Amino acid sequence: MNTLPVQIAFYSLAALTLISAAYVVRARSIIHAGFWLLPCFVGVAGLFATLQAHFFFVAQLLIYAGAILVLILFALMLTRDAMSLHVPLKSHLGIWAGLISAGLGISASLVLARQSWSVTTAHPAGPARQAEALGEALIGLYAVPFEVASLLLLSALIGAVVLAKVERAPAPEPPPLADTLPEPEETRKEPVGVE
Amino acid sequence: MIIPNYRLGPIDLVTLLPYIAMLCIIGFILAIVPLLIWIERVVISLMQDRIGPNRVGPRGLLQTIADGIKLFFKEDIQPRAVDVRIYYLAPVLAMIPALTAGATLPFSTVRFRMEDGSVQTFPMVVGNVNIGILFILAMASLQVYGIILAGWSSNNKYSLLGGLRASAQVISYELAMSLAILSAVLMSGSLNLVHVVEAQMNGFWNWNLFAYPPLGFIITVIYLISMVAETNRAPFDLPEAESELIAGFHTEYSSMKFAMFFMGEYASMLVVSGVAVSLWFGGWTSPLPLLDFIPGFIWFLVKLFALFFVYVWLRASLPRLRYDALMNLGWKRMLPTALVILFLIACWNTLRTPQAQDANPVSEITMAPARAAEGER
Repeated sequence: MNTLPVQIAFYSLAALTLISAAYVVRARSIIHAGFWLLPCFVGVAGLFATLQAHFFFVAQLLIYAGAILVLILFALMLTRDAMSLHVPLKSHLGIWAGLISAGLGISASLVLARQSWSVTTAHPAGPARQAEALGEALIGLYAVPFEVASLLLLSALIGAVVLAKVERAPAPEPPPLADTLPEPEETRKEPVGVE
Repeated sequence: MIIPNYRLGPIDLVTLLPYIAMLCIIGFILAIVPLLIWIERVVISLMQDRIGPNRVGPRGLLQTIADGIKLFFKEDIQPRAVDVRIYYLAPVLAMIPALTAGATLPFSTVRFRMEDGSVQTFPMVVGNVNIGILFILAMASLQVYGIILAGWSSNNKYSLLGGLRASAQVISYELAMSLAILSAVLMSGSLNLVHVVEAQMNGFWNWNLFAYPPLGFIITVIYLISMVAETNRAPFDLPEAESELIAGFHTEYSSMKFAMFFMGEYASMLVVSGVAVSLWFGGWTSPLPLLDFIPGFIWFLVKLFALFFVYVWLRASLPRLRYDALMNLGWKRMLPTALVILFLIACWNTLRTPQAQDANPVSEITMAPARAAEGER
């Protein structure tokens, strides 16, 4: 597996991920920061692909790049003045942030370097049965954590709906059919049935 | 038709098959778009009792080629206040995922006579991977970035509204689409599109469309609706509504960049139609066993063009949905229906096979790329 093409792919994907992550932090416009997350997620997905973890490659693309980032961008675009919003990069917390991240990075790399990793030549679950192995683990060994996590997500979902409803309540009579989603502004302003 | 497995040193035709399939897919998608546009214009004009394109070439066949050349030589206008990098990136991002998604779509089989005289069948597919259908789903979800980036970077309120509408619409209909695809996966017991198609062999009554009657039929209709919505085609073309958004997200695009959006839209239509053909209409297999002598890619093309005709038919006959009606249809009708059907299919599967030990059907077709990759290791 440690052939040259795989190494080249790994290093270029790692560089893509790190550089775009740096741009996420450095970008002055908040929406640019959001857009820079896309190459970052794609790079991580590519790392999964070089590890022959096809299922995780696709899951990363589908969930992070395909769904979560679209939602983030959607929210950013609805934000007032997101187009002209330029966050100043000066901050008086720079030194502390640098110290904390440096300490975290050094300790994490120390742990990673000291750990004796067991090397296997065979894949524990080859690409052929990866999805099945994950599915069986989720409803077998890890059933309880999985259910707890989904319960947490469900409560977060209901909480989000409740918060959105409370904020909407003082608005004067929403149009009768338009109460499913937070819509873009153009449908809220128009009376229903103008088309 | 049986092809001898020609061999040149370490390379034989079977190992080259994925690369041939790749050239076929990309070449087909890029070359067929002018013909598709011509078909669309002719069919719509027939339905509206007009003549349609008839000046350039025989029956107007060369009209789209002329349009393409015209687009190529148009001035490439860059508005003053656009976000330049993203503005140029967006058309590329609209097209690349659509072309990439074709990678796991099997469209035919080839029979090779091996060295030892035996005849083996191989699927024509670029990546015969186990998560084929998920890969296509992921690429379809990346497609929306072209529209979002274009809408935002154009610095035009109509474009931004188009981009917003597109992202909301694609997120909403992706759910129904994924649930429909999952139902097909449950019916066939595999995430590999080659296996899904193989499970529907030997006649049209084995198609997933007619499986678990009437569940298969309903879920097919749900997939077809969400497929039209995913590709932003009429009657779900709110992101580019001419009458309210003056073409929406691509208002500020001209020349070849506009052409790339157009190509991307047709390419993604082809890909999602190809997925529909593979999941519900038997893929490359023939509808009747006695028609097996006709090669698989011809059946695939026939089914693909039939679905494209449905696209055009919908566009000619249905008015555009209002935004709230679109959201109601997606979230309140299609999503609950698809969930119930998925649940029913799962129950049926569990009841019918109490001990589901071997969920994967054993494939008759050897997995060519997988085998080649094993050999390399």
